[in-house]
Amino acid sequence: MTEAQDQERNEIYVYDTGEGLVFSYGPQHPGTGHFRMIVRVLGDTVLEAEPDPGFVHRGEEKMCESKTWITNIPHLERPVILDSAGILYPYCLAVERLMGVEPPPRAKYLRALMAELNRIGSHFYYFALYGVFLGIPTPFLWSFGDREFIVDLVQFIGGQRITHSYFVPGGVRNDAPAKVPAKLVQHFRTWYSEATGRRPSESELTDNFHKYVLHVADFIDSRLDYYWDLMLDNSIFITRTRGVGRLTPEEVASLGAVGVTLRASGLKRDVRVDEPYDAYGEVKFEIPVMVEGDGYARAVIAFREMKESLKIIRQLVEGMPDGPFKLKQHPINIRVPAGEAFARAEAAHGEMAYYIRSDGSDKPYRVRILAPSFRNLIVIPYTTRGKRIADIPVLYWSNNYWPVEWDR
Amino acid sequence: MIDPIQPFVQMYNSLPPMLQELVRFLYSEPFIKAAIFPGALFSTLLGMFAVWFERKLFARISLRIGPLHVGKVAGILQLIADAIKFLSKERIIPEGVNRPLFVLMPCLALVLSLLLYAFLPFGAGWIIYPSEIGLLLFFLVAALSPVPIVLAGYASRSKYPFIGMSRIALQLFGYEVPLFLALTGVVLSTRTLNLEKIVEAQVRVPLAVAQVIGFVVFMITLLAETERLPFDIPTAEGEIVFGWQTEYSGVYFLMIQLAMFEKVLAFCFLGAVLYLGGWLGPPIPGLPETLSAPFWIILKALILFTLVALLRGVYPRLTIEKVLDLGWKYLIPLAFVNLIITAGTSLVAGALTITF
Repeated sequence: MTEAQDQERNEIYVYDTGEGLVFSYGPQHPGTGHFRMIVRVLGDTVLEAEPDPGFVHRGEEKMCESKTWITNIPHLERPVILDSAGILYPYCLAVERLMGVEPPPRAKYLRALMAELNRIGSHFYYFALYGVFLGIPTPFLWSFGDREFIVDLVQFIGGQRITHSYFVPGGVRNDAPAKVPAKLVQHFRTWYSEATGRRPSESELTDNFHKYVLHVADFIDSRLDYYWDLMLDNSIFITRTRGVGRLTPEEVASLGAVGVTLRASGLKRDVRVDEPYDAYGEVKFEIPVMVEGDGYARAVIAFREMKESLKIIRQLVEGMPDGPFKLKQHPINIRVPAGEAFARAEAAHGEMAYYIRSDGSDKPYRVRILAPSFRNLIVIPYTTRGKRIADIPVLYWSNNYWPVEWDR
Repeated sequence: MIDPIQPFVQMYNSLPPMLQELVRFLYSEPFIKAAIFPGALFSTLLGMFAVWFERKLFARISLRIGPLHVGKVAGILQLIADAIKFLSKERIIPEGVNRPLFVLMPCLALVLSLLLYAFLPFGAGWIIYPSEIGLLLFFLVAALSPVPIVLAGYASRSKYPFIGMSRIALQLFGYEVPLFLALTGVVLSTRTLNLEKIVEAQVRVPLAVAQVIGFVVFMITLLAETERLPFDIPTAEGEIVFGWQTEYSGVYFLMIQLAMFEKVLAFCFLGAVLYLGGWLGPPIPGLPETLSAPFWIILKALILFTLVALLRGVYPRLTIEKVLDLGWKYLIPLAFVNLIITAGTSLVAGALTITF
C-alpha cells in the first residue's frame, strides 16, 4: 500500500459526512461467531466498524457467587471450550494463593502439559478459521484432522475431549495413565500414514504414555511445516494479510492488547516467562516476537508459539516427576480463608487474569475474569478505519478472538 | 437414415402420418445433437460428474474421503441426492424483492450457460450449430452471462447481494477485454472464426505451444469469468455472506450452481478447442473416429478442469483491488504481447512461404 493511497483514505475519513452503506457483519454471518460488527462503508472503504458484543453473555461472574469453589470449575471452562485449561488455570492459582497452598510437583507438570496441549488445539483452530475467512478451506480440514490427536490426548489424560475440568485447587483431578489404549495408537497410525505418506515404524509406536506423547509431538511438528507451505508461505495469503491492521508497539501498549496481537507488534510479554507459575520456571522456551504488527505477523507468531509449545511438551514429559497429583482428596468442597487474590496465566488467546475475593464461606464473594479477547476487542474500531471490506475478516480474526470468552 | 430393427419398422409404418413425422423428428440429427449429445442431457450429466469429481479431488487434498455412500461406487450418485434435496425445499422468495427478476434471473443464467454448448465442436460434425463465426457467437453468449447475475443481485434488494453485484460487475466486465484479446491471437494465427477450422489448423502443433502467453492469459481469465477460486470475490463467504447469491435458496440456488458449473466446463471445452487441439488425438484401436473424437476432447477439457479445481484447495481468495490490478495492468499488456508475437511469427511464416 502506497502513501498516496493511505492519504486518499484518510481524506475520505476526514470529509466523512455520516453517509454510506451501513451493514451488519454478524451475528448470522459465516465470517463471525456470536458477535456483530456494525460496519459503515463508502464504496469499498470502511468508514467505521463498531463492535457489538454480548450475544452470548452467560453471567459467569455472577454465577460464580452462587456456586461453591469446586462446582465453579465445570461452568467456568464453558466460555472457552477450546482452551479450557487457559481459563481454569488462573482460577486455580488464585484460589491456591488464598488458601496459601502449593500443588505437588507432578500436578504442576501435568497442569502445564494440559495447558500446552490446549494451546496447540486452540491455535490449530485459529489457523483453521483464518484460512476459511480468506477463502481457503484446506487448513480448516487439515487442522481439524491434526487437532484430533491433541484432543484425544487431552481426553486420555483428563477424561474429556474439550471440557475436561482437569484443574482443581491444589492439584489436578486425576493422574495421567501409564498406558495408551491400543485403539488410540492404531487410530494415530492410520492418520500418520494418511497425512505424511509414510508408515511409522513399529518401534516408534508404543503404548507407553511418555513415548506416545513425544511421538505425537514430533508428528505435529512435522505437520506444521505443511501449514507453513500452504498458508504462511502462500503468496496470496501474504498479500491479503501483510500490512493489514498494523499496530506500532506504542499503539498496542496504549490499547492494552494481549496475546498474539501484542507479541506481533514487538513487545516481548508472556506471563509464562514474566511471572513463571507452576512448571514453567523449569522449562526452556522462547517467546516469539515480530515487529511488523500486522495480520501476517500475528499468524506467524501463532505458528511459532505452537512450535514452542511442542518444545515445552517434550521437556515436561521427559522431566515429569513421580509422586502425588493432588494435595489431598477433598470430600465435597473446600473452605477458602477470607481475603482477596489476583492471579494471571497465559491462555491461548492471551493473558487471562482473575481477581477473587473470599469472605471465608464455601462460595466466592466475587470473581472477576479479565478475558484476553475482551481486552483485544478495542483493536477492531482502531484498525478498521479506511480499510477495505475485504480486509474485515483479517482485521477481525487475526487478533485471535473468541466471542464467548469476551461475553463471559 | 439407418434402418431400425424390423418390428420397430412395422410399428412405425402403422402410425398415422403426423406421428410418423414426430418420430422422424425425434430420430433426426438436430434433435439428437441438441437434446442428447452434445446438448442438454450430456452437458447436465457432465456438470454433475464435474461437481462430484471436484468434491472428490478436494477431499483428497484436504485428507478426507469425500462423497462415499450414495451410489455403489465412491458416492457417484451424491449429486442426484443433493439435487433432490434442493428440489424438495421450500421456494423462499424474500419480501421486498423484485419478484419477476428474482425468479427469472437464475433460469436465464442457466439457459445462457447451456447455450454455450451449442457452438462447441465435439468432433468432426459433432456440433449443434456449425457456424462460420462460432467463436464470436460463443464470446457473445459468454459476454451476456454477467447480465442475469448483476440483475439477480439488483433484484435481491439486500445489502450483501448489492456489494457482491458491484464486485461482479467490476470483475466480469474488466476481464472480458483480456479474454477477447487472447482469443484474437488464436483468430490471427488460424485466420478463421470457425471453431471446427480452428481445431483442424492445429493438426501439427497445438496452439498452447505456439501461444504460451495467450494460453496463460486465457486460463487466468477463465478463472475470473467463472468466479472460481482465487477469483470468487463476488461470493466471498467470509466478507459478504454469499455475495449476489445470498438471498437464493432451494431450486433457484441449484439452478445458479448448475449454471456456474456449466459455464466453467464450457470454458474448459473452449480452452481444449482453442489451445489443446480439440478432438485431435492418436486413434484408439477398436473405437471408430466418431467416438474417439469426443473422448479426446472430454479428456482434455477434464484436464483443464482439474487444474481449475486444484486451485480451490491451494489458494486463498484475492481482493477486488488486486484482481482489477492483475486484469488491467498485467493481463491486457500480456495479451497484446501475445498478439504482437503471433502477428510477427505469422508475418515471418507468410514471408517464408512466399520466398520458397
